[in-house]
Amino acid sequence: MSLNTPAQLTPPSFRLQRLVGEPAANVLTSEVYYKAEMILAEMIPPLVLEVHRLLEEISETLENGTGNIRDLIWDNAHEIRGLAGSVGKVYLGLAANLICQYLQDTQSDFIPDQEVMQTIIIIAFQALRDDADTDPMMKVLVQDGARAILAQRHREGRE
Amino acid sequence: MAGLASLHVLVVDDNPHMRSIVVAILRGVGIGTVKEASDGADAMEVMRAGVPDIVIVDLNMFPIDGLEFTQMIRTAADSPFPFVPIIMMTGHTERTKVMSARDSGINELVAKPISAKTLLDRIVAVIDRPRAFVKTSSYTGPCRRRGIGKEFLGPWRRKGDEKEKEAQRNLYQEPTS
Repeated sequence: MSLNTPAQLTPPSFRLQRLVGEPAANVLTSEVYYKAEMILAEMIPPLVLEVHRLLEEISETLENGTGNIRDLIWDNAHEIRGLAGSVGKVYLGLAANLICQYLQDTQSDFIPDQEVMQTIIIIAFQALRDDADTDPMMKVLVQDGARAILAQRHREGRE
Repeated sequence: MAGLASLHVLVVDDNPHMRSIVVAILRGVGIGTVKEASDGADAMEVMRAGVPDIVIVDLNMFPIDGLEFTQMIRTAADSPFPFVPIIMMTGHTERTKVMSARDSGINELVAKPISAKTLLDRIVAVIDRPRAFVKTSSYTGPCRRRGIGKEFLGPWRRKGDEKEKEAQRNLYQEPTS
């Protein structure tokens, strides 16, 4: 099929609307939207607890872990980054992203620097506070964390 | 059975927490069948067992990401479900990523952090405002011309384009008094 060949066009299918029996907009009323928002709100506290657990696990692994500690930290940081958006914590996402940036381009046997990692973990815990996203100090902390990561990557010859 | 209870939705995301959020919302609003898959390969298996009415997929997955997964559904020779509506979730809202998602053949995009409203809005869109399906050598998926704006000046390659072409010509004609 070249540029001059007409595209094959299949008309829009209203199969799903027939299946539902009426327009979805009639079924998904404002009450349903409200109910959905409530369901989402109920799911957030357990997610915050999960983020706590993941951060504790990173911290514990750094102190006492053996084997491929880098992979566990990488996985947890990615998961925290994904969860941060859902729990509405911008700085938490940025802090988790700093861990990902630090571990970027490293192999499974990489041993992360304790000091830098613990600094970022402290920032991440701070970012979990209820008022974190409105606290101007959080921005400063995250910026400091970013500088620490850059400097450490430089020290390790990974610019 | 009619209403949302008659719908079958598949949620594909390698993050179990994100998946559980989406599944809880869908079940909570009364969607009849909500299945889960943790990656593209798993999703293909689930889909072979029963084609869903809507697929909600995350962009960032490993080893098959959401873009590849969408292309597999749309273009694989043995795909039994090339037309299934696909809603993609992504935390990456850069223009290039959004365009890649659009060009992979998705129907709708949900930016993370997801809100229940955005998710339900996209579901309403795929049910109530389905788009024509286009197949060319380089693209297979819903029509990407969401609205023909006056900025689109061709190429006109579709059979039904004559009317559009005429309307475009009229737009740029000198008004006759």
